[in-house]
Amino acid sequence: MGRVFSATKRLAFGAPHTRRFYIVHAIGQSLFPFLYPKPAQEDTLNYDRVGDHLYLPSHKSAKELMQFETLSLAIVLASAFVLFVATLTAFFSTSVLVILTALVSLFYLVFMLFKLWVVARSFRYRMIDYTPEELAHVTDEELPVYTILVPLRDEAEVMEQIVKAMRSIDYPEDKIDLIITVESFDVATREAIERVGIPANWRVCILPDTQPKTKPKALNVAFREVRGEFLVIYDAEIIPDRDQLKKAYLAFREHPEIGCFQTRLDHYNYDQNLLTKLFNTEFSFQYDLFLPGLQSFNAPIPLSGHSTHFRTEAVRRIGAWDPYNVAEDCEMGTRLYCHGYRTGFINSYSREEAASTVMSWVRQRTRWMKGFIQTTIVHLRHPAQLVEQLGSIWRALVFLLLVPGTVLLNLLNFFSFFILLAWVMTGAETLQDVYPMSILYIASTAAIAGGFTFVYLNLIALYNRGRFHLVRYWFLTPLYWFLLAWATLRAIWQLRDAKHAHAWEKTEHGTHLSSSS
Amino acid sequence: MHTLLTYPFVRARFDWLLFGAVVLIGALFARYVYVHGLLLVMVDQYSHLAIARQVTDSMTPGLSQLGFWPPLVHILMAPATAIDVLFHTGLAAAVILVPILALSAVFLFRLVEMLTHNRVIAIFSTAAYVLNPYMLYYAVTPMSDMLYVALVVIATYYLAHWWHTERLLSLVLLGAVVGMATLARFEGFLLAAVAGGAIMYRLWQRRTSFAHLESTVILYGLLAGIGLVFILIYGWVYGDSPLAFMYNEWSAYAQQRSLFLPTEHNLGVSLQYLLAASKHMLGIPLVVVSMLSAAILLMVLSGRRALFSVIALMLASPFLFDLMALVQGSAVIYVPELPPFDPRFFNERYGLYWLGFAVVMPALLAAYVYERVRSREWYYEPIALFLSAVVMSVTVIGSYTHMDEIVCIGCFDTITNSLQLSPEDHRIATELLRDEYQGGQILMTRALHNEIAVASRIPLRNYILEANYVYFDQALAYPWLFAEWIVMQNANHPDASEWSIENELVLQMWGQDDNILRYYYKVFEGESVTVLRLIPEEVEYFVEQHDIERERVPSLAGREVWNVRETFAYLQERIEAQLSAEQYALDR
Repeated sequence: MGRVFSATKRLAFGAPHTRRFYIVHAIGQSLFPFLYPKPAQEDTLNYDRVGDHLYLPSHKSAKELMQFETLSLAIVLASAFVLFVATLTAFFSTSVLVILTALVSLFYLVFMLFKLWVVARSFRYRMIDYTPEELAHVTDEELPVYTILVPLRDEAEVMEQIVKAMRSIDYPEDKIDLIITVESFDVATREAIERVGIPANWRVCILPDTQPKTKPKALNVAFREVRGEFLVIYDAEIIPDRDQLKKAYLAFREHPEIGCFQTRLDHYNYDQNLLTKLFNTEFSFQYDLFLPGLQSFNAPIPLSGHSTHFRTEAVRRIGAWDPYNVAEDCEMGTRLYCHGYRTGFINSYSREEAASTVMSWVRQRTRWMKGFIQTTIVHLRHPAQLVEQLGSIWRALVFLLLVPGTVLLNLLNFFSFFILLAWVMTGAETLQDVYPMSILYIASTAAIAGGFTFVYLNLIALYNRGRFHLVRYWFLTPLYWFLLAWATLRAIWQLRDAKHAHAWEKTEHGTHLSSSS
Repeated sequence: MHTLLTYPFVRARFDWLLFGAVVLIGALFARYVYVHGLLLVMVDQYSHLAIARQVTDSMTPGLSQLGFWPPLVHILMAPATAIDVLFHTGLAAAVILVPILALSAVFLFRLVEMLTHNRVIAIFSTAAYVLNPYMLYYAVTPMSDMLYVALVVIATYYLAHWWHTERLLSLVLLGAVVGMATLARFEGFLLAAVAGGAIMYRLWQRRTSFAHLESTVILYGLLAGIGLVFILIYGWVYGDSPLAFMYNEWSAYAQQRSLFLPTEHNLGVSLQYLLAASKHMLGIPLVVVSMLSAAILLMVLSGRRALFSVIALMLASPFLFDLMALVQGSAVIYVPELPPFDPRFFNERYGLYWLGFAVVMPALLAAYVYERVRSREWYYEPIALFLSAVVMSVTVIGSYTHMDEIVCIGCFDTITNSLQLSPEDHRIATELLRDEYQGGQILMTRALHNEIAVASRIPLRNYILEANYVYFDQALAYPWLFAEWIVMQNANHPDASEWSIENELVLQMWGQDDNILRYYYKVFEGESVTVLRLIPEEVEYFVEQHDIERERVPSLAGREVWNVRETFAYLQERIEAQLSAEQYALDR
């Protein structure tokens, strides 16, 4: 592909270092900057930077979202789309609405088939796992220093739980390099740390009072102090399996080509209420059926924000986290892949607290979707370069389906829901005119067969996990999807200005404690 | 044979070898039936074929053409019927159904092997299954009977597999196959209930938690219930009622109301008729041996009685369903030896549906006898072999002689003497249309559509049927403006059926109206069918009288499809304007 690209460039722009080449190059760069990757000297990392602790070059950060490359790409894509729709409208002698409906239906169908294919692959994928006997053979002497980063904000409620969970990890205490980050203004959490008490070798890193006030910034601040050969992030409410660090160490040792290991996530409060039950259903599918499938063909994985284990050196080479991206995990996963690092999957659980109120859930999901959009914009600033870095056009398509595709799907679900409701209630002929027979069949297949299939797969994931009593809530899944659509709409709204674009709507923790007491 | 079966090459590829062998048998049988002119003889065969074709070739192609019969066989045949030669010859059925027969043979083999741990017995059982002449016949003709029996066998296999292993995949596949069975025949509803009950019983027996039981049933039920949900939604969308399949004019209940129902409200008589039909379909030896085997096993089995009962119920569920339908009066069977002593057969094929039971029960008994007897002392082995061989031989030889009688000697007496044979005058009407048709639409009811649709070689998009909804309604109002031809039931014939008189819409609207003969002339009048052809000059005159633009009249402009909103509104407005003017003139 690189050779074809170079040959095409030569033909279009002339041989390098000729006058024609420079003229064309200059015009092209001003009109279509997304076609021209930044020169290598602009790609340097700066670990000395303070303030926002952004170590990445600015063109790789979500700090200034609407850079000129994005704007010009958006204009080009919008123009191409309008031209495409106009051509189809003229060719099929139909209305624009019908063409748009057809494109939406095709998108749904493609997305459904893609996800089904991934799930089918997941059934054959074997996660990396180790028996208790194998783990018992690991001696304390051979274990390296392992850094655990625990970013906290307003977590006084769960301080006891955090400390208990971290202390129960089966790893030599003197080889755990645990760093807790706390905001300078978060007095309650700092007092809770003191009250609960932490081991002497744990460190507390007070964050500077600078913007942005996000988790990735906190991680970047702490990253400078990291001593471990490997590192993992555990959020405030996480309870990982005791042997997770040892499993990760063995996995890193046996797979030198892998830069990062994902673990399986679960909720410990899945039974708290209806929302947590549905949330856990989604997680079961995601971590048992979907991500393993993605892993099976080495696709770029949208990592989870915690319980992901990294080689410290890999993180250092790629510039640590983007403090301005509110889904830093997803962005990190893509960037690691672009730098040639692969991910793996360890069969080890980390349990977290599921957001248990609707607003808390919506805020969390809004942040994730916002981060997905930020990740898309950042990585599509130079799409040709992205294709090159991901290795193939297919992997780039997978990225497009997984990241912006998920956002688009949720948005379309929102409008599709209302269209369906309007048709059922009114049977309006206007709506029927927009769905001629062939498009109606595609749309119905995607909606009915696709919807049913994914509800069913959710149930299979639950059944495999032994969460039998959650299966009975299967019929509420479409309502959950509607909530997801609502959160996505909210995310788009928040991107209207920089203040809201980088705002971190923190998820409330500890509600399971108050409900169980 | 035992040595051959354990030979590594054979053992590793046995499923494929068996599949291939049955496909070959099916292909040869299809040729045999085709050459003897028995591939398409019954009304239902033509009907299934036409429905499958209409999914792709109709004025309104799509799911709406499936009608109110369980649609699986139509959906499966739709791609094959889109190929003209396969459609017109009826071979589209064999292309689709023979591989399904072969697949079910593989699953039957696996089922019997799983239950008996004896490959030889499994082979004999499969041979008896495949050698049944009606099983082969309904695998090469467009009917849903073999398809249903095959799905029952496959579902039973997955149930047994799940029973032993509790693997989730087996449960999911069980649900999927049962779901397909409910889309193949209404008997599938009972199959779904039996399988669901078996799952619940098994989990209760193993003292699983209520949540586990409930979730398992949900996982199974969501798939198994697909057929029922589809039928209900289809009825609601296309028939104005979810229960349209039970009570509309196309239901078995409606079509059979006027027939003599000897079994209605009588369990004993119903059983008698069903067993008589089974005798014709399975042969006396197989019926007797299977029932005896089941009875003996029920008495002697102690440890695995639950599994045996479940297997027996699954395989016998079609028999039980049809028995209930006979008692209820929504089904009817005629055999020559029972009242009304008509020499013709009707629905005798219901006796085929429990073929799975008939071949599996003797296999289980043979295996039981073999194990029990040989386990005593080593010298009992030959006795054990002999006894089990006797049981299996009766089964296989019974099937073979039945095959010989039916196929070679009797040459499918039950088929050639069926009450459901396509009427002679349908054939005449078909030939007439084939010879004289030169374009234009044909207005007719679906009930007459069958042989004509398949054999006249006219594209189905040139027919205006009830299944074309608004087009049919509009054409029915003013046929001469839309249809070049009309085919309707002959109301004047003394043997015109009660159902036709009550439900045949073209007949109801125009059968007694001489006005129709102003615009059409009779081309053919048979016992059951009247064919009319348009008189273009009269329509031209009508159009002129009503000041209608000629180009907007589909029957004159040669248009197959018209704009249902604009064209009909325009025509109706012109006609009513003229009527108002005439009325005004009269009043003055």
